[in-house]
Amino acid sequence: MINSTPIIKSFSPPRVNRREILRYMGCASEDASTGALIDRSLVLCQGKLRYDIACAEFPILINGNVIDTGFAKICSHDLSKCLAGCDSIVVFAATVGLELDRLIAKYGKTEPSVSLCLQAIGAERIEALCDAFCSDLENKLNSQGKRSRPRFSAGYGDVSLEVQKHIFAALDCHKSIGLTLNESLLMSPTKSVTAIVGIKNSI
Amino acid sequence: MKILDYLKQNKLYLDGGMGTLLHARGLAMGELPESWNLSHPDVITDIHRAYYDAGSNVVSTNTFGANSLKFSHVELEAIICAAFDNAKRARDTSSNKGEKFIALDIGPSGKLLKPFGDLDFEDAVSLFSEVVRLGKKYGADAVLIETMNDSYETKAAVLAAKEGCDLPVFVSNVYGADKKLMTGATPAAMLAMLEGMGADAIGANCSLGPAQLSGVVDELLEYASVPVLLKPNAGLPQIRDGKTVYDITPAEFAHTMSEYIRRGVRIVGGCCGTTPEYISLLHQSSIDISPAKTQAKGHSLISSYTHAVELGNTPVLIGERINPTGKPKIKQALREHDVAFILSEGISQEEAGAHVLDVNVGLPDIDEVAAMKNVVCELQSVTALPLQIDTSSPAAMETALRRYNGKAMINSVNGKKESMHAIFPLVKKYGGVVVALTLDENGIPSTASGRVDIAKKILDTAAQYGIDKKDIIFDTLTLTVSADASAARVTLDALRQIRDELGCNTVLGVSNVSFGLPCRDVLNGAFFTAALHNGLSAAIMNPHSAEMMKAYHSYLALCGLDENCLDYINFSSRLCESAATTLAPAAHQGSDKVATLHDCIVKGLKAPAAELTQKLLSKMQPLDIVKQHIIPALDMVGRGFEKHTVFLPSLLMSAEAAKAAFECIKARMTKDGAKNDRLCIIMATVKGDIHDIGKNIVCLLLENYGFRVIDLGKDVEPQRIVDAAIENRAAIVGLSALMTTTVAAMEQTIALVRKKAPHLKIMVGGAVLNQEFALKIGADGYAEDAMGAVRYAESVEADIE
Repeated sequence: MINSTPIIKSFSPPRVNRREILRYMGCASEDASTGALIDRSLVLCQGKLRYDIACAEFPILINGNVIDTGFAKICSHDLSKCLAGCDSIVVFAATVGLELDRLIAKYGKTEPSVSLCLQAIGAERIEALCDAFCSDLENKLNSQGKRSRPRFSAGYGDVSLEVQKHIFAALDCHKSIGLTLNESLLMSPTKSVTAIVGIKNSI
Repeated sequence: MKILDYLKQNKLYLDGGMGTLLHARGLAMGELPESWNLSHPDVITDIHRAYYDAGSNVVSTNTFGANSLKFSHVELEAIICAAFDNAKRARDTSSNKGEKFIALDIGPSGKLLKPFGDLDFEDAVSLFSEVVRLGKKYGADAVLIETMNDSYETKAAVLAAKEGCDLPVFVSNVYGADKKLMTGATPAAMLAMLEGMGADAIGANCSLGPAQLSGVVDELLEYASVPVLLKPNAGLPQIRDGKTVYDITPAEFAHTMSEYIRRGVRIVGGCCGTTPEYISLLHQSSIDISPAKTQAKGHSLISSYTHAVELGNTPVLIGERINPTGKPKIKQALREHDVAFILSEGISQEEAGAHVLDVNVGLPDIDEVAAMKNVVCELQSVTALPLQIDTSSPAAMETALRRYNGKAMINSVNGKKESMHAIFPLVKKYGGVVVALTLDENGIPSTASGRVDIAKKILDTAAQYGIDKKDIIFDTLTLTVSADASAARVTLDALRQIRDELGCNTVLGVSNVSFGLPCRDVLNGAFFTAALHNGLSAAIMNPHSAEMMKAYHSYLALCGLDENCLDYINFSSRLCESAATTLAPAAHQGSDKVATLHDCIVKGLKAPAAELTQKLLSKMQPLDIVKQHIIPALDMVGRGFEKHTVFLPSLLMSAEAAKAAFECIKARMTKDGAKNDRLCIIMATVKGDIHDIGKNIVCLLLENYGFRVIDLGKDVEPQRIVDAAIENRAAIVGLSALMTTTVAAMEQTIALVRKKAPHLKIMVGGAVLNQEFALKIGADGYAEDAMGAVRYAESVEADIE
């Protein structure tokens, strides 16, 4: 039987991918001044980011386009396609913390170029954290003769953002990693991700 | 017996986890545990009774998440009423013959407060007030505010408890492995704020096992003058063989917790994963340990949302620059609601080495209460430094202290009855270290002993209000030495006497000493050194003054306050760096040519751009510089951006360099009384939307092109936009929205602008908009990006001309 108690994990900082940062900044290439801007912004982030994840596994039942996760019934053609053949899902919430939002706000008022770069770093960091988590999960599953499907977030395809409310309740996101959902169903801290990963029993 | 009377002589045993036990009894996933007070009263009563039987003196009601965000008001009252019935039934039927109490349990709302979340501070206070009112009504012996991971929300809850009842208030926060709350506060910072607000016990719960909280407990015990509370988890949850297990056994838990009791913790219990068995073993193994005496520690602390600053050890620098007196640019910024300028003044002082920022927004013709609230809220969202609220208006003071996320410095009270009567109640209610000026109804005494006598009077009166001397810092008043040759000597003598005879901290506004004299910085620096030598705890000063900073860092090195002189070495290397000319990089990057303002802007070099502008101002008219240098450079970069050969970061860096040039031009124009004749544009992110990076970029570019931009910020009410446009005779309103959900608010704003000020042109922008959609919701123009906004504003201006 699957135990769905949320578990909290802290990761060490994943390796920085400058190309991704540049991509999020809308730059095709790195020149000297953009490079200096990225370096400076990375220094500003030093010691300010957390790499926290809350996760839990849930058995699922798929009936047509309706996925019963135990914590919610999600109606989605796209997600049910993604989870086809899966018996369970791992749901996770990841955040790099509120300090980055503070930095983005601080420089947004005074040096928007730095703020823009911090936004890009945040986007790169949270994706890198999700990748690190999913890679760990895949390795663990492989050792059990299982494999994972690509992660899928509320808001992708036809999955309503409303699903966020259920994910937040299931993982107790506020208490576990300090993640909150506002009235518009957006997350604070902003550089955060929730996602569903399907688990297949055979490799 | 009252709970606080019991606590005076005894340790207090709290209960353990509730959620884990409820899940074991069948609480379904997603079901709200508080609803079981009504649906399963016997289960809740059994759990409470098991804790009392295990030795708990205090059981917390099953009301952790009971608030009106989750329940209707009617449901909420029924739940809290039932929760107390259940706890009382358990108390009355327990086999435990000791003293038993019931605490109203209040957990976090689950929302993040503004500006980073969407729950307003006062709405949070109201939310908790309702719970407090019901807890009091149904018989709570105390309020336990627990599992709070944000200092600001903790403050809202404590304020609600203090305003809503006279029950003891125990407060417990969640610290991570880094010994901080998730929103950044250290134990000392929380302690400063909570003790200041009158919490009766302060501590930590949840998140980690007892051993991992060792550092947090040590810090709390070091600074706390109230009993320290500890309710850790039974370690961390792990899934083993499909079962959730916590990795600390009841025996290990009891052992570590007993150690903490020996170290001084007075109130103990457990959180997630702990059961009556944990509490029972803890009770048995620690019952014979005598409770440590809770002692007044006397640390004079102020705090921000991240850290505490202690007065009385290393002297503290309070940046004085956010003050309109004698600063035309701050005056102008306050009148024009240009918060960005004030924030950059704060940030630059932080970067220059200030430890605290003084905030004074007093101008005769502005609404000081509103301005103070706005500036304090904005500042505390971008700086981690504690603030000193500086106002003569008690109403502005109260507004600022209420909203301040920490324990502020309060500037100021004096020996006049009226002043003490107005300010001390605020210090008592909100906490704070108050600057006390040694003057009274008879003015400023001309002798040191006269000033010390006033200090004594202030201390006596403060004590009557329940304010300890650690929360008073005396200002012996710097008078100008050019008017009275003995002025500095009297100030310094009073300073030393207050430190030696009264054992109190002292503060001075140092630079007053040199009024009317040349080379003021030199005299200020020397006086500062003398004051430090006479025991000055804090100086209100300009951290950009090289002489003052030289005096400060030298003093620290000379007086053994700077281990291995590392701080001094750091300071001196910065001093050498800043002495090197800022034009060097421009020349370096621009081959052998002398850099021009045009080059500096194209390359995004801020300091050289400002310097070259200053030079040009000696031979050119300010607006000619804008037309001949700044705008052509910006246009060149802007055209590159439009052709996708220049990317957004480079455009922004150029814009920032242009802004630096503009600051010099604005200063000159203000001095000359010249007027900017370009259009005024009101900019805002619409109601409900908190995304402002795009809007900030647009503001910056528009300012670069010389437009007068009034930035109202984000989440702005439509009426405020209309009012600002009319008040400032704006020609254009620029609205931004990122989300599809807030486009409706944009449409409503446009409708209101059309109705109240039909002459205004409206441009809109944001990720979810396009030209067609913009026109559909009633806008006049759509700006795809910041350059598009500039082009639109220019076209409106051309039409008007």
